[in-house]
This record gives sequence, structure tokens and C-alpha cells, in this order.
Amino acid sequence: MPLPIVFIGIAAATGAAGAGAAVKAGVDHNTAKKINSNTEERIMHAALRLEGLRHQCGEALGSLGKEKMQVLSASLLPFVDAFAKIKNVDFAESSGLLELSKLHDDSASFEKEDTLEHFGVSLAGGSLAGLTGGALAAFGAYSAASTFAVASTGTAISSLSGAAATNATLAFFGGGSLATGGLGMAGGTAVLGGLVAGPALLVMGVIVSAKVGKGLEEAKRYAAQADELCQQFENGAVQCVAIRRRTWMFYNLLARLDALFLPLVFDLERIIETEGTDYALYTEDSKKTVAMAASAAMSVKAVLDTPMLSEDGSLADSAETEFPRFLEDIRAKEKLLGN
Amino acid sequence: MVLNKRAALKIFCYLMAADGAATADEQECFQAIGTELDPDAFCEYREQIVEEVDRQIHSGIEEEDAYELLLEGIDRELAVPAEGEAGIGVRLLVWDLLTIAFSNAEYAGAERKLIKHIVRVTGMEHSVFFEMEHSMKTIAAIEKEMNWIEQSNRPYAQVRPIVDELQNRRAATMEGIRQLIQDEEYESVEKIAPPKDSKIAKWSANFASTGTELGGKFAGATKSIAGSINKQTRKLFSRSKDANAGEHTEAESTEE
Repeated sequence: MPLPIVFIGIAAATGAAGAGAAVKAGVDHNTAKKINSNTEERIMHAALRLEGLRHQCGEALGSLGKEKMQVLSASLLPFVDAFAKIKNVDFAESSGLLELSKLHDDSASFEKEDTLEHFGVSLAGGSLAGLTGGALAAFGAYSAASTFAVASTGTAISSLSGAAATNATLAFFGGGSLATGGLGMAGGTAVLGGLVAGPALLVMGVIVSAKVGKGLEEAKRYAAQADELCQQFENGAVQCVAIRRRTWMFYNLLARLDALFLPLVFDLERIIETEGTDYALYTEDSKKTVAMAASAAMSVKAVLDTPMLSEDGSLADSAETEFPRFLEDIRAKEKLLGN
Repeated sequence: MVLNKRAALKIFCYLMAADGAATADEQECFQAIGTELDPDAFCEYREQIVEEVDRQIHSGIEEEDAYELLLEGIDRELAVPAEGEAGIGVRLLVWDLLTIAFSNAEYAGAERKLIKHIVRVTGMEHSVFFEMEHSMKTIAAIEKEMNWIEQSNRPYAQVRPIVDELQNRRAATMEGIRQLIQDEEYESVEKIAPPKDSKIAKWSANFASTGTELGGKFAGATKSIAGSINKQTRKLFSRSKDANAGEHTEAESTEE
């Protein structure tokens, strides 16, 4: 009978068309799912990396800040106290020591003012001024966040101003604001105060707000947007790494310098105790020790006064350009002292 | 770049030989690094690699060939492929080399030259090497300061906070190095390419269009078939009507 065959044929053809379309839709859906999953993984991975690096960066800056305060209070200020007691200081004959001619000129100008104590105040002045203004502010930590952070409201920090900018900047180091599950201002202050705050996803807001498309075209668009976002995260990560590395370099520089300086400060105190306060009456070795301690103190002060970050939050030029000079200086001193 | 562990351990041996015979401190450091790097197998091949290195550095024609022989041996080891993912990163290798070089009192010029050669050959960033070297010198300076303060005759109350601070500094410096080594391990997630012309997509698209085409053809055919069926049906029914009418007439005439 021909009639059923005809209808079976029609059904088969219609079925083929339907099945083909269904398979294509299934493949598209599957592809979109894969792309979306890959996109989310890429964003999450890049975000977590930036978060980790941001945390490391804050930790390094906090460590440097603490070390600076420690060196200032435990080494530089005791030196200033001891050095201020010494009279008739003359480094003119202390050949072989770096920077001493400059120090000699400085001491001459202080003598005019008839107060050697002023030298001490001048020596520590820069750092003290910074400390009174809020410990790490002197080291440029506040501006660090501005370049690469996004405020928890989704606004770039650089576009904020006044109190809002400060809050956002602090929140960057503290791990995002309370609204996005971070530690907010309190956390930021804790980090800047040298305490390590628990990490939270800085970019959680960005990730959560990103709308995942279900269709293939939407998935492709989302993936393209993610390229841009991941690039931004990568740029931030590169900056974090650069700042973190330079900060540890300075941390180590100061540690090396203090390893030379503190024994000299102890020697200086011993000399005052055993030989009195008149430089003119000191033995040649003691004179050399005093000169060496003063030279090291100037190096310490120069390192303490070097900010890590510039106004715009990037790595400060001075932190880059001055470092080789500082390193050369410490190598010369280590050689001189047989370290 | 990931290096073969056994090859890396041989490179450590070459470094120890760079400034003459390996000191006890260097050997102790080598043992510690080897045990940590390859805990399962190091003790089995330790002697073997020491002998291999010894053979290489004594294979020269004259004494003055020594440094070239070291470089030859090192370059050969750097070319050994890592076994799967079980290898050692370049930064960790260089840090371990610096650890061995600093384990005895002197960081010899020959050792530094050799490490710089490895840095160049492996393509490691020079700034990373200088940073590592600076960190190692910092640790050495901190250790020295710690010895000095512990031996000083200052009161305990004054010494203790300084020792604590120095311990913190050593830990912080190590943390900086750990982060630097960790940077090398980072790999971003690859973006998958949207499968524009995948076989399944092509097949399903073709299948759908062929189905639609066939459907169209069948519909056309159906139309004509349906037309002829209708015609035939009409003919069939009209013929049976005529026949019925004939039969009816015949019956009527018979009755008559």
C-alpha cells in the first residue's frame, strides 16, 4: 500500500531537519557552556593571582615600614643621641670614607649655629616628619593602590577624590570593602599599620556582576570582555610584582646596612663611655669608628627617606635610580669593615 | 623552563668543584638539598653522580682546561629533559646554587662566574639573579650580626629584642625569595578557541539543511501524489456510483 510509505518519507525528512537543528543547538549550547566555563576560570585564575600578589605587595610594604621604624628607633636615634654628645668633631682627616667630605661641610655649618644636636635632628628629621604624619604614609603606601585598583563600587580609584579615594585606597590593601566581603577601612588601616589582614577577593564584585550569556554568541562576547579584564588584572599583577620585588630589595638593603650600623653605634657608645666626649682626645681607631658610624648613619637616613611609590602609585623613580648607588655604597662599607 | 632533578644535582656537584675540592659545609648542604629535591632516589645515585662529575672534570688534556670542562659538563646537564612535571625550576636551581656557594665562608669568584653562566644559558632574568644574590648576602649579614649580638656582653633584656628582630628579618628575606621563586610557577589559564568548524557542528548543520531540503522535496512530491490520489479516488468513486446506478436499473427492469 503506497500511502503509509509516503507519510513515513515525509516524517523522515521532517525528522532529519529537526534532528539536525537539534544537534546543532545542542552543539552550540555545549560550546557556549565550555566557553563560559573557560572564561570564568580565566577570570577567576587571573583575579586570584592579582589578589595573591596584592596581598604580597601589602605584606612587603608593611614589612619595610616596620623595619624602617625599627632601624630608626633602635639604631639611628641611639646614634643621634650618642653623636650629639661628642664635641670638636672633625672628619677632615678621615680619608678613605665615603661621603665624609660632605659630612664635614655639614658639621661646619652646624658649628656656626653652635649646636651639633641640630645635626642629629637633621639626620633623623625626614623620617620623623613622615612618621608623625602616619607611619607608612611616608613610604608612599597610600598611593600604591591608586594605579591598579578598582573600588568596591566598581569605580576606578583614580576617578574618586578626597575621602572616598582614601577609603578605596585603604580598602585595596585591606582586601576590598565590606560590601564585597573584604575588610574595608578597618582592614586597610590594619595592613597599613603593619598588620597582615586576611585576604578577600578584590575583584569579586566584578566577577559576580559579569553576566554570563547562555547562547554561543553571548558566550563569545563574554569571552572577549574577559580578555580585556584579564589583561587589566595582568597589568595590575605586573605592577604588584615590580613593587613587591623592589620593596624586598630595599628591605634587604636596610637589613644589610643595619648589620653594619648597629655594631658601630654600640662601639660609639663604648667610646664615649671609655674615652669621654672630646673627639680631639680620641685614639685614631676611635676617630675612624666615629667617622664610619656617621657615614653609615647618613646611608641609613638616605634609605629611610627613599619612598617606594610615587604620587600616582607607580614605583617611584628614586626607588629605581637610587638603588644601585645605595648598593654600591653598602658594598664599599662592607669591604671597609671586612664584612 | 623545568630541569631534570638528577641533572640539577650534578650541576650542584660541578659548582662545588669550581673553587677546588668541596668543603664539608658544601657537602652537607648538597646532601640536604638532594634529600629534599629527590627524597626517594637521591641516596641511590648520589655516589654515581659524584663519580660522573669527577670523571668529567679530570678528562682534560691539561690543568688549564678545568673551567671549560666544568662548563661543558654543566651545559650537558642543562640539556637533559625533565621527566614529566617532576623537575626543578630555574629560579629554584639558582637559589640552591647560591645556597651551596654561600655555605662555606667564601663566595668565590669562580662560583659566581659559573652561576652567571647558568643564568645566561637558561635565559633567567638577570635582575632575578641579582635580587637572589642580594638576598643571600643579606641573610649572611643577618647571621653574622646575630652571632655578634649573641656574643656581646650587653644585658639579656637588650639583646633579646635585637635577636628577635634579626630572626624576623631573616624570615622576611626568605619570604621575599619564596615569592620570587613562586612567580616562575605561575601559568595563566589558556583561552579555548571557539570551535568554528568542528566536525559535529558541520555535520549537524548539513544534516539540518539536507533534512529541510528533503522535507521540501517530499512535500512537493506529496502534493503531486496527493493530487493523483485524489483524482484516482474521484474516478474510483464516480465509477462505482455509475455501476451502482447500472445495477439498480438492471434490478428494477428484472422486477418489471
